[in-house]
Amino acid sequence: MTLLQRWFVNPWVQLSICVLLGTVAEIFLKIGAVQTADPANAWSWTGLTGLRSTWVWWGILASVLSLFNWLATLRKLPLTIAFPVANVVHILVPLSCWIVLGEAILARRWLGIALVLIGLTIVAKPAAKLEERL
Amino acid sequence: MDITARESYSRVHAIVVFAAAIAAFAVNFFVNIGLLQRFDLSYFFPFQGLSVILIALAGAWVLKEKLTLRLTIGSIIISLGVILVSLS
Repeated sequence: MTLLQRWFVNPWVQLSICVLLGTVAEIFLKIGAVQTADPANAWSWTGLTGLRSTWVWWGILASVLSLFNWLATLRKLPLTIAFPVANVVHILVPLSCWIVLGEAILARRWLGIALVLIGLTIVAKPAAKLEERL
Repeated sequence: MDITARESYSRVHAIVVFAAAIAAFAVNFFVNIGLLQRFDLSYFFPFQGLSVILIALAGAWVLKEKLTLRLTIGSIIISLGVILVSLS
């Protein structure tokens, strides 16, 4: 196996790609949703109207690829480790919202996100065990 | 006869559960997009942390796992965080 192949099948690399793709997927979905936003149309609540936007389709692709990477990491890493690390997406998504989408995120929202992250770190181990059993 | 009856029941059961899971996922995905049309992503995304609490409750109900102190404290902290985000 070449060095590049060995680097690619490393589960931590896969996890990083999974997290990055997940963040990118959320951003794309948001951009696509905003482009097809139509508050007057009652059907827009179902989100199906979002399928008109190419951004949404790229977002769907990114989510699917992220899922494949997630499965690849779970082959080598136990869920009790992979799941807490994957929660870094809760930091990456608001950060990229601020940088890419230019959303104004007040201190109160950051505090709430920090609390969610702390709570997720606390429940990560038992929740991952539960998810494996479920 | 009895064994085949049990086998076919569990296969139908598995297919139904699997289809229901896929349907639920599809509904979640599209309502997601619908909600994103109206709210900021940074407002909306932290609510996904609530799904972990639901997993814990489902484990307690389906698997009869006990809700440890760690789980309840963590769930309360997550809920507080979500409430804070929803107020911002």
